[in-house]
Amino acid sequence: MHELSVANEIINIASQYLPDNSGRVKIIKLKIGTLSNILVDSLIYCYEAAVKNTLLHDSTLVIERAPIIINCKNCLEEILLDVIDNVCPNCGSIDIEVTGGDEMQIVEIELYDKPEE
Amino acid sequence: MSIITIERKVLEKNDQVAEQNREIFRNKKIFVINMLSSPGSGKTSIIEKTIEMLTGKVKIAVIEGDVQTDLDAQRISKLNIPVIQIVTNGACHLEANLVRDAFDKIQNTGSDLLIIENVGNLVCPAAYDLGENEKVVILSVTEGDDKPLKYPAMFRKSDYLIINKIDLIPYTNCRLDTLKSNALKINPKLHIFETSCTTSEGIEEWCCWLINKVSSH
Repeated sequence: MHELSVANEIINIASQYLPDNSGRVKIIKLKIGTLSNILVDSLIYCYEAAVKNTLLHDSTLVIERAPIIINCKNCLEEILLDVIDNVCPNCGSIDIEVTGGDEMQIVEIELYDKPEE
Repeated sequence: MSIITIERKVLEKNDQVAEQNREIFRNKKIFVINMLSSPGSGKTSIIEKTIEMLTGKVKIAVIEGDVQTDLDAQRISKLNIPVIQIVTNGACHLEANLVRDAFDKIQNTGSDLLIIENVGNLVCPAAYDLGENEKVVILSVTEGDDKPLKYPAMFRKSDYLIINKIDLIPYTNCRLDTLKSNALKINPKLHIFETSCTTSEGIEEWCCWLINKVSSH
């Protein structure tokens, strides 16, 4: 639901990496966790709307989904999951801690080779 | 091809302001709770009951967050409590900078406890740290006992759960034991209160916890 706020933050951060007035951002690579409550299609839609009339107008988001990571306190395994069922898939314990999967990170920014003529 | 590796959190600006808020709250020696729930679970009613019970014991200030209107702030101000209404005009959550600006207006009221009532929404506010000491999620029994499973983020990020409107259980198909076990499945560390703002059941236990937190803060 807050994908527009997130899109605006991405624009704010990525704008800081424009080398000068002629530099242009081509791709912004994001890592979005499965538990982040972000709908990827909606984020792309909001980004495309928000980025118009900014220096990033011809940039594209590339989104990598980050898996859920749980640490089981019973069998001491660290397990990566796409879907969480609130029990350890290894031993069935409910004594698990979710240690990853809610990240929203800008991983890297790729610039166009040549400035626009 | 020029690639810049940056690895920055998208919400880093909010997190930075939240840390500044935390520092301000620490300097002011004020204990801060962020109350989170879907609309209509009874957040404002719990705050009213809390104020009634703690008057003369704890100095309370309130920040209200809503999409529209200052109706909640009007309710709280009738209890002679410093209150600031944040109207988000559509935004589905409070952000740390909004709380900073609101607190700025009530920071000299000498309060020991700041209650932030977030925008009614069981999804988005979970992602935004406001600088609070504790997140408290409220779920009313009329919403159904499956909600912790369907909206897990809020329950995972909070250490405290208030199950409200327990006087209405006989009129719903909500099973209290199922609701609790679903919530604990998401977060085994959850401390659970059961309240009714109509009968006042459980309000005293909740307020005792608050007093302890405020005095040991």
